[in-house]
Amino acid sequence: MNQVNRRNFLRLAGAGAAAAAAAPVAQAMGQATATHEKDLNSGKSIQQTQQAKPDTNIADAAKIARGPNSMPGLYPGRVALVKNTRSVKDNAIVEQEVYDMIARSLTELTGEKKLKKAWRRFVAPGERIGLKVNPVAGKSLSTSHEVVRAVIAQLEESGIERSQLTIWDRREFELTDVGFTPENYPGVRIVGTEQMDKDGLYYGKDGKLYGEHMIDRDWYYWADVDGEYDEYTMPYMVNGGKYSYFTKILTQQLDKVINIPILKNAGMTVTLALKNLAFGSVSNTGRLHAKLWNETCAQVCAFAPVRDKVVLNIVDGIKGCFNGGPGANPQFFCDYHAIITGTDPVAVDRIGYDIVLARRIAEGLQKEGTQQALEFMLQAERLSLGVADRAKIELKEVVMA
Amino acid sequence: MCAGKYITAAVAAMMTIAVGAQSALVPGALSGMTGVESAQSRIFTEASLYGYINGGAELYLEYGFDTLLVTELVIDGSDIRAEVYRMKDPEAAFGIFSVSRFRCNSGKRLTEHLCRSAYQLQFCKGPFYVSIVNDTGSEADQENSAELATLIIANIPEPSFDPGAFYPEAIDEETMRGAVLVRGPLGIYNGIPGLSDRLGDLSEYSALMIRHGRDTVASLRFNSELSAEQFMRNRKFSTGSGTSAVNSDSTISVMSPRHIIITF
Repeated sequence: MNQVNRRNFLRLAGAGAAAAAAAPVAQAMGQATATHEKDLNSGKSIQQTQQAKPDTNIADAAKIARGPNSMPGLYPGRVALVKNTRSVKDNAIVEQEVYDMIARSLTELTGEKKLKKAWRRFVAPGERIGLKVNPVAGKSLSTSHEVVRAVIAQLEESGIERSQLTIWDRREFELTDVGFTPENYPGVRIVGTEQMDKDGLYYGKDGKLYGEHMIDRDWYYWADVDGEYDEYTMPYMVNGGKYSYFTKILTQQLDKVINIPILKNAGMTVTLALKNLAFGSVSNTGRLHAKLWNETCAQVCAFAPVRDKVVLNIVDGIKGCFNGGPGANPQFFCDYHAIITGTDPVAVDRIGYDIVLARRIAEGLQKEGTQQALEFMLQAERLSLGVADRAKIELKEVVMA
Repeated sequence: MCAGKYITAAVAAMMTIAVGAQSALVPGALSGMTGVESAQSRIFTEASLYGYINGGAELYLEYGFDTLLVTELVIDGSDIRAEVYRMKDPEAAFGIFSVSRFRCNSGKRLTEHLCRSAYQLQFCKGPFYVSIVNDTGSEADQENSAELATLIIANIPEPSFDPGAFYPEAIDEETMRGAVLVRGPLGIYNGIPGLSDRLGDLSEYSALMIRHGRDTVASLRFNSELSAEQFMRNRKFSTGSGTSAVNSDSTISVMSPRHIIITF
């Protein structure tokens, strides 16, 4: 039995159930050097440690000139936060309330009175528009269908055809598992970088992984950390080694991206807009969690395919989790009743962090925030991707109910 | 019923091929259950845990992870997922359990270290940490989860984690319900984040943290005397075995060259 056949033969029976995802922030250990920096939680001067980090090719990101759509987009430092306790009833998300919340967040963000005008600031007919969702934690803790359907409905009402839309993430079978299917979203393209066919195989007739055709080897994030994956249990992984290639979904198949993460903690920090984009856009990410989690969240987003195409972030904060995340641990699920919207992914993440932190404090998990939790946002700010300093963020908060 | 037996046999065969002692747990339990309509299992090793829980794998690896058996079940029409993590040792299993439990509901004590909520039942015994999750939170699903847990527990011969190596005096049940065992920064971030500034840079140790009044007491057992000495040096403690010392924010007792107890 050749390797390809053997791989397919031994493929995961339940690869479709790609399971809970989690990524508590793996902080790098190593030689520490003391530095002083202003604590953005308290405003006080603090001493923190800086770990020796593996090299990356982040310098390459700056070689491509920024464009008009580059992060932080049309509204740097501005975030619309809409809360509505009616958004969940009997543990179910109320779609009409969610629709209204998203609409309100768009008008608050843009200052437009008409919803259509607000949307058209970001997208236009004829453009290929991606909706980057997060299905990795399974049905119970993924970007909700109510939010995605509301976004699609509003796009349609704004003159965008369903045929322009693509729901995407890194693994197609994870999208399928949580219900992002053609049956549930007729007329909308649904695609993932790593794919499995209807027979449960990861290889096409040409003997190559389907995912191999989906990565763009012209665009990569290099980091001096090796990736190595078990062939039998992770046969869909396109590549190991030190390169993470950007998906063609992003580099070739889309003009604009609307990023729709779900509000989750990751250890003491959060996994929101930046993390959803960074780890969802490139291959071979397993190697990046342990030593380069913060760096990856920020740096991958600094490369043109992400930096210049993501025009809007809408955080699904209706339901989420405050601990145990970003994996699905039901005892830590909660209803946040919130939608967080902005073009600036760093500012959006910072506001989301404050919400999760407040819940963690209320639940007795922490007494205060930590500088470490802000690290990926600070790095993103240094890469000019947005605003991490809470004092500089213009928060437009609306409480609907 | 025939279908259930067929499924159980298939699961058992698959898992027997893949892992050793762990393989018997879930199929062994399923053979004693009624209402099992389907079961699909997957196994993840140290090299592939990432494929199941992505970066969350780092926490398990930090504690010491061996294999994971995930079984997706349909019992009486409801989806139930059983995750059986075989850790390197009982301390590691208790460690994962200790940072995963939260506001446990009362109920029958199936084993010493167990936590139940509407949607999840989790416990550790011997080197195993087990999480059983249902989708509905219904009474029926909770009962099925408890039945499955009971049968799995019966198949684990190893004893529950014993904190005796960390604290010479017995720890009462109430205190143990809040105890957190960590072996690195991720455990601290997840289980006792308030100490991340003070202990987040430590490595090569196991620590059992308990609450004592308003204090947090950490019993640290280092993997080597060198690691213990480095810890003492970095925190400006200079004392020999059996003595105590104080620095700006804590009191320390040296139990042995590799074992110290700190009160914060």
